[in-house]
Amino acid sequence: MVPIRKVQDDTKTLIKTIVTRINDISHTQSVSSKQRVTGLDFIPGLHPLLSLSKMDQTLAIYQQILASLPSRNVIQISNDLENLRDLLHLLAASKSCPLPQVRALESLESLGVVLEASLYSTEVVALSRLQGSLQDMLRQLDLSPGC
Amino acid sequence: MFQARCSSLKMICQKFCVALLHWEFIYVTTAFNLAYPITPWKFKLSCMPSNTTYDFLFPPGISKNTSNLNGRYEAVVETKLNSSGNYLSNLSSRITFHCCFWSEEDKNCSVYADDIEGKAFVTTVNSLVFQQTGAHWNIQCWMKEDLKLFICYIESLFKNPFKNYDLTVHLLYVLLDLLEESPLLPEKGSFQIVQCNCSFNECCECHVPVPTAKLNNTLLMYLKITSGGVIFHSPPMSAQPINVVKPDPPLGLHMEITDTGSLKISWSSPTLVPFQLQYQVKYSENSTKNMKKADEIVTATSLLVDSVLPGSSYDVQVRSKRLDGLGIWSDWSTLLTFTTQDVIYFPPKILTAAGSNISFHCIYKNEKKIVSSKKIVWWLNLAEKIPQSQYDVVDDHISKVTFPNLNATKPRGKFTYDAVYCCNEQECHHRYAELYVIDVNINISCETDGYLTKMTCRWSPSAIQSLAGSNLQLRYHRSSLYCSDVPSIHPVSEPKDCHLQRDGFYECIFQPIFLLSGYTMWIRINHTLGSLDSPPVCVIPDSVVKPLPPSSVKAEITVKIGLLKISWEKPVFPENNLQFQIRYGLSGKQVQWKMFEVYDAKLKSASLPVPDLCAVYTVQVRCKRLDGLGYWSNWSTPAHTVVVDVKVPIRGPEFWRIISEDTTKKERNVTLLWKPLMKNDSLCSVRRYVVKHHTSHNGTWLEDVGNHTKLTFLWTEQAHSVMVLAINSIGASSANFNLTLSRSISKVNIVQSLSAYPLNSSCVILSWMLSPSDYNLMYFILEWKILNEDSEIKWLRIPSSVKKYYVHDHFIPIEKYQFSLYPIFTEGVGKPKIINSFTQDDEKHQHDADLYVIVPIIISSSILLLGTLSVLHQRMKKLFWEDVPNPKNCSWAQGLNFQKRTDIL
Repeated sequence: MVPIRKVQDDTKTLIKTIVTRINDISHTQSVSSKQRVTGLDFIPGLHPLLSLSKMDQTLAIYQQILASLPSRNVIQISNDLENLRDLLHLLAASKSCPLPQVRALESLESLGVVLEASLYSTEVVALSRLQGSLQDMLRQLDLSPGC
Repeated sequence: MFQARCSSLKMICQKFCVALLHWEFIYVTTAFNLAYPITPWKFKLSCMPSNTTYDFLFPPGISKNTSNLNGRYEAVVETKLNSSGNYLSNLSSRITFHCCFWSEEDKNCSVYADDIEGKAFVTTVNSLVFQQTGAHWNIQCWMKEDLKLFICYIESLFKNPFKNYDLTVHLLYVLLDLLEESPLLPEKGSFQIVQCNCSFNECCECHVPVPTAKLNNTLLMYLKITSGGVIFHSPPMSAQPINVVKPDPPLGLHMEITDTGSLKISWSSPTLVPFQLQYQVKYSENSTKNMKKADEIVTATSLLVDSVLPGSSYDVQVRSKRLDGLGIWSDWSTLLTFTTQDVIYFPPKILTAAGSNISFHCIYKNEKKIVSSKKIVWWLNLAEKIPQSQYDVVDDHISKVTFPNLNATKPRGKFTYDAVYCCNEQECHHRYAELYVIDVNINISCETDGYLTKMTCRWSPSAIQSLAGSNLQLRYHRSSLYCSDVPSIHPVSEPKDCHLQRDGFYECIFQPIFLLSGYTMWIRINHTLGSLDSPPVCVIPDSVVKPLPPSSVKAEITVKIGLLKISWEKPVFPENNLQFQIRYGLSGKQVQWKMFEVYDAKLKSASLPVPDLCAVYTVQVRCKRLDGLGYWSNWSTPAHTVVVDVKVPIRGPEFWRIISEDTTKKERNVTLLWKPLMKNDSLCSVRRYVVKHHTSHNGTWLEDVGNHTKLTFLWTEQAHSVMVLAINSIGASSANFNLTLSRSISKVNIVQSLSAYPLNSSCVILSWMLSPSDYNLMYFILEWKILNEDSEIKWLRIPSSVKKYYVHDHFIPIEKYQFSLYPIFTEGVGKPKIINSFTQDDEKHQHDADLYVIVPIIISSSILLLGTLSVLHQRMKKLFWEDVPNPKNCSWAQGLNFQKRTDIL
């Protein structure tokens, strides 16, 4: 049985690791935060107040998006997201929160079309938003998020 | 065999000219549902001339013109005969042949006959009628196992009068659609025709391709056989291909004795058929006890026969058939014979892991008699009897030996197993069981790279290399998060490719990785005798990280503070808190490292005291997770300090003066001499020297000497004070020596005596006595030089508290030296005490020392000499008197008194 304290620490460390990984992908660093990219509404935005289940749902969407991206370095991030979701499940279980199964993502049906036309945009925006979401989650985890 | 019974046939019917009339028309009149259903067994086609009477064969009460007697088969053949043969030569030129199907199982043969009005009727007769006369063929039809080809095999019977004539066979067929399967007849033109391949021995094979989709359809067909010019048409026959599938015979028939002592008969079956098969196993056991035959039907591809006996032989054959529904038995497989040995071990070989427990069983047959299990003893390698406590009697004949907690087998030469013998008391059969015990403790170690994307696992197969024919495979199972407390081999696992490295280790790479998942890994040893698994280990990649070394490592000696400062940047990964180790040492070929550890993860630098601020230090840093998990990183690339001025020089140089006096002018030239300041005093370099003068008349002034270590100036006043300062990039030396040249003080004599004692050619001891003085003595200056030579004056500074001093130099023993000891007061340089050679006291002491050495030597030598003389005297006396004869034994001396003097002598 893993102590819940270790699970919490590992969750935070893993989030930091993913954030750093995204930082290390060179082409994501040059994306301007001032420009808003339209047409990619299926990629989750920032939600400062997140519950554990919402975090899980958000990560599931990102996982699905990353799985569709051809870049090699996103495979590792996708694996990290899977571990992170498992950790969130453990945290939720420790709080006796029922984590609902993530539903099929209908909004991503158009992902294939978008990817075909705008692969670069999708990748940089997805990674950029993921980084922001993860940083939100990191802050939220310090505040002991609800179910 | 079916084919073997074919024989050549070309004798009779050369003159038969056969004309087929109205055949298709006749078929029109034949009811479809009267087609002969093809049976799983062989059936026969018999044709005989229509004028043959068989009325006598009809059973009583059955009318000759009974129509469609039992709804079976009918056919008619019309032949035109324009020639004659042995048997048919008497037949008219137009003969109608009646053909029918029958079989050994149903010997009734329905015959189609054509009456005068052209109306067909069917008569059933016993087939014996046809066997006596007419033409006959054996037929068997089946669907091949590949479900693509329908085959009919036709062979002429031996009694066939047409047998020796050219045989041509055609098969006409139509594959009815499922919807068409009705009593309605197919159209005349809908039949397709295939020519059958006939061999020289009058056997023919007809191949009908059947589409897979139509396996359930009805295949309606008839045969057109031409032999010796006569054409025979068979009655129609029908079959559903799926119902007459004949599998190929089972393959790979194999027999072995199982670990439990049973005979296992196994085989493999072609897997083309889409349905389950049943198997018929026919075996016989021929042993000394009995002769046993058995025939069993099973659905598995193996059969266990209990109570196998030593020295017996077993003959086995297997065939197969569709399990459910209709089908045809395959041919029997090739006969396989298996003979058991006189000693049966089961299992005959065991591969197991060290530490496990295993058992062997044995049945021993000795001269046609099975040995009682109570008499069986077990031996290991024919060298060591296995204790009886390890035996078990399973039954009257089976003995069992158990080996608990086995150790790994030590290879003996090329034998990598232990030979286990089952013996009949004192007699052992040469056959033995083989026991392979392998130490499967293979250590798997993993390391995650500094980018946290790759985990490399390594393991060495050296422990199990002795097992020839084995192959090793790393298998793993990944759990979503973490490891269980006790790792276990999971039923679902994946193999991992590993590559042999030069160092003999296998290396397996996981990339990408799940950082926090538990990878349970083990090595599977696959061998023909079975497989073994090493104890599983569970690794979380996050726990075995070897970080990248710290970067941007810099080292410097801090200015004014004087500490070795090391700074670094932590690697990007891992995000966990890190601890650091610093090693540093003086640069050189072999650095003597000192270690310093930093446990504060936030620190990025450390300052360490070092003894030598003006030396080049080499520094390296490495890191590891603060919680202790994982490995130390490699050392960073070395950083080196640069020697720079750290502080102002600790002191100015020691200096002395040489005065050359011009008595006529009453002027004195003073030359100041000093030794260059060393690094540890200059911290760390001297840019220039400055001499500071002070006289009462001229006050104070500075004189820049640059890098020189000598300065000459004119001493004109009563007193002249000088000080030499060393200057580096930081500033001037803080503590400096001061020397005052004073004419009055130069007469002050406080050194009462000075003695010099040479110890050896490189050291002289100087000692002196002082008289009390009111002056403030700062230190002494000792000068020495070779006397009477214009040699270089050497000097050194001696602290004022010292009364004795060891002077180290290269002293030449034959030379005389002058030593001068100057007391240096605050007020000026006092009068020196000068000695020109080593003092007399010293010579006396030297003589005394010589005396102390020589006198004992002389005394010792005298004693030794006296002793020697004494011994020599005794020897001489003895030698001398030994040559003098004993008067009592000498004839000529008898009677003489040697003690009495005689005048003769």
